[in-house]
Amino acid sequence: MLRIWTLFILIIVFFTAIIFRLFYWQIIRGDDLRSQASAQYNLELTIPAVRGTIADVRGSPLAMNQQASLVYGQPKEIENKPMVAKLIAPLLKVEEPSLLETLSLPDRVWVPLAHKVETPVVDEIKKMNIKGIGFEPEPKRYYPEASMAAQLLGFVGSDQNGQDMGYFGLEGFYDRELRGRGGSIQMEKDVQGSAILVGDSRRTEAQDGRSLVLWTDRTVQHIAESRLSAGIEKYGAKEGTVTIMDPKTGGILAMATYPSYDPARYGDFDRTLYKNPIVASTYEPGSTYKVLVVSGAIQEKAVKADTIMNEEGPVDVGDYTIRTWNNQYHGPITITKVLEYSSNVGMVFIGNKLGKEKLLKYIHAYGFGSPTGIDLQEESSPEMRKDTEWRDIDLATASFGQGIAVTPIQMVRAVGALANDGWLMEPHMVKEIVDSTGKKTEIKPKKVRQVVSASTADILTEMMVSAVDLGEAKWAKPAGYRIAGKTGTAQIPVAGHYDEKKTIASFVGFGPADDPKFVMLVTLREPQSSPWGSETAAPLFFNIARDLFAYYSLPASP
Amino acid sequence: MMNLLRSIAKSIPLVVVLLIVIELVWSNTLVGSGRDVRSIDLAIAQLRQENEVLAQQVASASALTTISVHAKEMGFVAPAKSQFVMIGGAELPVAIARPQ
Repeated sequence: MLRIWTLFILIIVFFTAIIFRLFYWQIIRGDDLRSQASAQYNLELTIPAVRGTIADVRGSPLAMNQQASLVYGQPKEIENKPMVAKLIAPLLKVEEPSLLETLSLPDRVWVPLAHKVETPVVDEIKKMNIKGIGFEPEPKRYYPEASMAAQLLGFVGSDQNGQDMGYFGLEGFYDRELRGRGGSIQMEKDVQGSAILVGDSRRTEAQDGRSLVLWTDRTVQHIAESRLSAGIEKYGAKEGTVTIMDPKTGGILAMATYPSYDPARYGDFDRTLYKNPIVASTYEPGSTYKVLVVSGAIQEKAVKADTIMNEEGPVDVGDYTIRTWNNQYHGPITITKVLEYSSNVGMVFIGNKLGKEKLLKYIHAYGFGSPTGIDLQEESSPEMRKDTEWRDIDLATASFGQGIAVTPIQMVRAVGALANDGWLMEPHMVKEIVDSTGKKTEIKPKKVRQVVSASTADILTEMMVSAVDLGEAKWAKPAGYRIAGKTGTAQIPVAGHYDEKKTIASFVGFGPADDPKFVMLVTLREPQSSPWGSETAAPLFFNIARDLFAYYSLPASP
Repeated sequence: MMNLLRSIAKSIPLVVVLLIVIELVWSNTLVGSGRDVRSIDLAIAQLRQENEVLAQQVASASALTTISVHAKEMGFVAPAKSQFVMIGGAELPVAIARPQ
């Protein structure tokens, strides 16, 4: 009887052990084994999504993809690691000891050696026929126009998982649209790794990224960049920007900045250059701002173009004294002459006539104090003081564009409203989005609000034409064209005061005045040849305008 | 009737063998097709890569920076002054024509 019981217990223990073992393999390790088995008989291929391209308004590519490869090593298969490191380190542009260290990592069967290596280098390494060195396709961004429009485009780097990701500019703003979604194919495979068609298969198609067609015209961009570069050299400025917009649509025709960087080698440049100063940096607009204040005063009927004010000398505002830029005074002058002479004293008069509430109303209506909504990742807007915190001196200086910070894109958009019957537009880079099937989605121009009436805009246009024809910069103006514009020279605030020697020279305007094709802002930081906008930014503006008139086939009047 | 059933029963092994042979031939053909499909996939990928390289070469050759360098090498210079041929009379400027 004892033997029977012993046998019975042994059988029970034996079967219990089997049940536990089965539980371990089938339940606990089940998923793992299934995936291992699947890896043995399934062939899984990833289908990478192709990143969308960025093209100018005429379809010329500004950013596209080029073939490149990930170069990897299989250390266990490499026989002479020091020799391999010595051969390929110079080609991959990595340090030889670092490469050797990577190849010598213990217990590693696969190590990445270099990412996005261009095809000629890969071909050279392939010719060496080194055992244990392999390649995987890994496309990289290619910029046919090199560094043109770099701060507008942004660049493609990697995210935390090593996947491509767009940073700054259009690449950053439209990253999700451009990158698309990768797919995969899972099929049963035979012993040689070929797919078995009678077996199970599962395919998830990749969705390629969408492509962008911009408002930007590469010819206009080229003109702006080459002229800006020449202007920076001629006037010895530290930095400069040129922003050109179509005032009727808000489409950005060009954005040129100096200094800039090469998006293909972004890692070699200072990170501070990545942000586009046209949308991310602020400056005090100086006298260019006067046209906006005058437009508000005319719209509110506080003054007329021919209203006479007496510019008899400096004017006191609280504890401060406001003077004209050259300390010259012309006696009784019209409001048109106030703009021609760029009179700060005249602007204080106009600001007083307009009054605090209405001046602030127009500052807000022109969009200052809030982002423009442009489709560039790094746009920011300077904070403005609360309406209740404006003192008399703040209002006085704001009337001639000092003590107020704006971004170049805010300024060009605001003046663009005067070129567009008073309508403020939302500036936009992208005109059309094209998906991988070729379906186009047009992004329509967006009117934000009408700030001043069409007739007020026309009056300001004539006043700005007069400021160009009779103002300080008249010597540089292209003959035979009606251009509306205004110079600006703003001192740069340094540690709570203004540095008289350091200025931001600017010129804003549009042309042809009667049917504007472009509105443009030129800014130069700390020009050395002259601190004045009329002697630096204005001639640069007119040089670009001259090229644009020729490009758009706009003839001069005889 | 019984004879018919008997003859059908006798032919079953033959039919089974025939079906097995057909299955083997068919599977073998499909396995071969898998290899063909793979080679076609590779050819498509190869052509796509070549297209990408060609598109890149076209973009590079037609880039403004490239064209301007070639133009300079060939002796072209920017015109000092643009010349226009006017057709028709000049219109009144819009800013002046609009009723105030």
